Amino acid sequence: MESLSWKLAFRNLLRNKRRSLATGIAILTGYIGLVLLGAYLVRAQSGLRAASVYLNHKGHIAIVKKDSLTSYFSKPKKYVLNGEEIAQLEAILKTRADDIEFTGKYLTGTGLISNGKKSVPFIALGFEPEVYQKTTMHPEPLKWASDWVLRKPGDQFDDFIKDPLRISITHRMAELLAIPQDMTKLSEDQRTVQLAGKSFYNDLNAVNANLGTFHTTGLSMAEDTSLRAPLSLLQQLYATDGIEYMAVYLKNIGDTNSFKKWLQKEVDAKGLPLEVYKYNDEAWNSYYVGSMGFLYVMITFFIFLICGAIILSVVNSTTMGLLERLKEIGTLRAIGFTPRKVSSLFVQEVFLLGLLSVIAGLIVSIVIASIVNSANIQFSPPGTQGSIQFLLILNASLCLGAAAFLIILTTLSAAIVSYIKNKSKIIELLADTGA
Amino acid sequence: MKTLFFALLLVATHAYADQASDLLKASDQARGGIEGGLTWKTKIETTEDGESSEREFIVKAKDHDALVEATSPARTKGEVYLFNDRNMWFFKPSLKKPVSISPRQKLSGQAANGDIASTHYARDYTATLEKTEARGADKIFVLLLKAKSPNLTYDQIRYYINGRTKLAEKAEFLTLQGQVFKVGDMEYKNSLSVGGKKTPFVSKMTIIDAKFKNNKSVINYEEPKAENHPASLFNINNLSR
Repeated sequence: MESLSWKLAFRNLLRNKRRSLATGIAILTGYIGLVLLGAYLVRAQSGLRAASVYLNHKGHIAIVKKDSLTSYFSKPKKYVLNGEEIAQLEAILKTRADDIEFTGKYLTGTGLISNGKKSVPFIALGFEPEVYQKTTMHPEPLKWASDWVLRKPGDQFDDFIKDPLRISITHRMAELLAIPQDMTKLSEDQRTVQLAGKSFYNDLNAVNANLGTFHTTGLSMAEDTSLRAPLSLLQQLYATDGIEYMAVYLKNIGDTNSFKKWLQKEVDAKGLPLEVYKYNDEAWNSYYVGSMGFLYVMITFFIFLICGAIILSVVNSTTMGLLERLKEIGTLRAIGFTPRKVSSLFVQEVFLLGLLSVIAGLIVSIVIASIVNSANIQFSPPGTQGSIQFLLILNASLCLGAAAFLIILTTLSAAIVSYIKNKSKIIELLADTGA
Repeated sequence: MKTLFFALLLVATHAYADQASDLLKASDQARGGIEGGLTWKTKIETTEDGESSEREFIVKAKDHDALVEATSPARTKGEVYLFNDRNMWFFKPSLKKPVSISPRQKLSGQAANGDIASTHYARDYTATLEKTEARGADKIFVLLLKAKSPNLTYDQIRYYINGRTKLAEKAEFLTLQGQVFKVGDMEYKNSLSVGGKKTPFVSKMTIIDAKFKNNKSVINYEEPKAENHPASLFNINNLSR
């Protein structure tokens, strides 16, 4: 009986091929739309996350002094983590060493970079050279944000290990300083620049530094001022041995929430005046959260449009099918089919149509994604520096999720329509003229 | 009749502008703006957000140039600020090259880098007479100074000059929009002998944040003396040698 109903459903699909085809195309197009939107979202999320966590050194987890996010730049001396706090924090982190890939200490500050002729303001990030190497060569940014990793052939990102006075500037800053974009042509004297800034004692201080490395933040608004330097050099400039924050890079990103909760609990228990943030906390990483929020809103809007079009198409097709087959439904009901059973025939029909459309949609999506990815289309998303490749990254969970969602949506739409229409009496159904 | 009226107005405007400019020139002299060489010591006492600090310098000025050497605290010893006309440089012995800095940057508390050297407002600012105020028997001329170039310490200053003494008593430092962001009060207990003539010289300038009155810097000027300095002292190329 069960296989018979599936056979009937399949045959019914073929009875009005044109309508089935139109509905199938609506579902197929909707599926392609959902999958490709999802593919873009996956790429954007992964790219932004890799860029902010690794390339902009936010870490999966960041630990700062309490109220540091609002007050560090006005009173840095008060809001740095001192040696004792760092040691206590490291002792806590040691207990979960198995979950941690590595940690990094960071210091940020402002000042002027001068080449003896011109001075340009900077916002500097100080890092440990070994950690810089690990983050920049990490598979995540190389996979998802390779456009923002400025890597020369054979580059091991060990510039800062070899030269503790080495700093990295952006191409835009080089322009502002009137320095050639090819730094290999610079003489020893031209390579030497000075970084000036207010020390934590409020004195103007300056240190020598060497040019030679370029980086990009990926953010157009930060390109004029971004400077990166070894932690020790910035500590010397600002006359401190403290750090602004410690970043924790986890082995498994899925542990982020639980790790954050655990760490906050531990530092609170030890009475340390520290705050723990996740990479997707708005207060800590507003660019990532803001960009993702915008994408989510935009994609949700498109999903609504797609689903609306599919629901309308399925409701229309099911209603038309029901109206055309009222007599047939009456006959089925007269020979003992319950209204539920008759409804299930229509539901099975739409389910089959949905399944076939989704399979076809999957094939088309894979083809489109392959063409787009191999075409190497470059684009500049708002707010980002330079162009990045437009990539569509399909993955199994995305494709299966979209398929399940669409099949459930179409089947549910058909079930509701057929349930409402099947309420009519048998005699009324048999008496229908089809007009 | 109309032509006569406008001609008189023009003459009056010119006369006021000249008067403002003359007052400014005269007041600059007591703040180091004289052509011969000068040397004095400066101590800046700063109170900001409940924290106090002190810094000391020796200032050597000549015409529009000045060399300011930090002498205290010990960690700043050897640091030099060089004013070459309107350009400003920072240097310390460990640096390979001097750093070009802005006179607008904070030096200590409310005091900007540009506040520490001699004042040449008559050269750097266009003065217009806003109003006059009576203070006892004295007449105070209130001038509005507008910066002639963007690389000066302040965009606008409301400057209060005593008509009798020709000394600036008060300065309101204004934003581009004309809002007061800090106020400076000057005292003239020092004197200086220039060309055999004794002239008053600034002894104290108190700069207070217009919003947070507890944040202030007091610049004390000590031991001013006329002293000739060689031009090479103010040569940027000599700093790093």
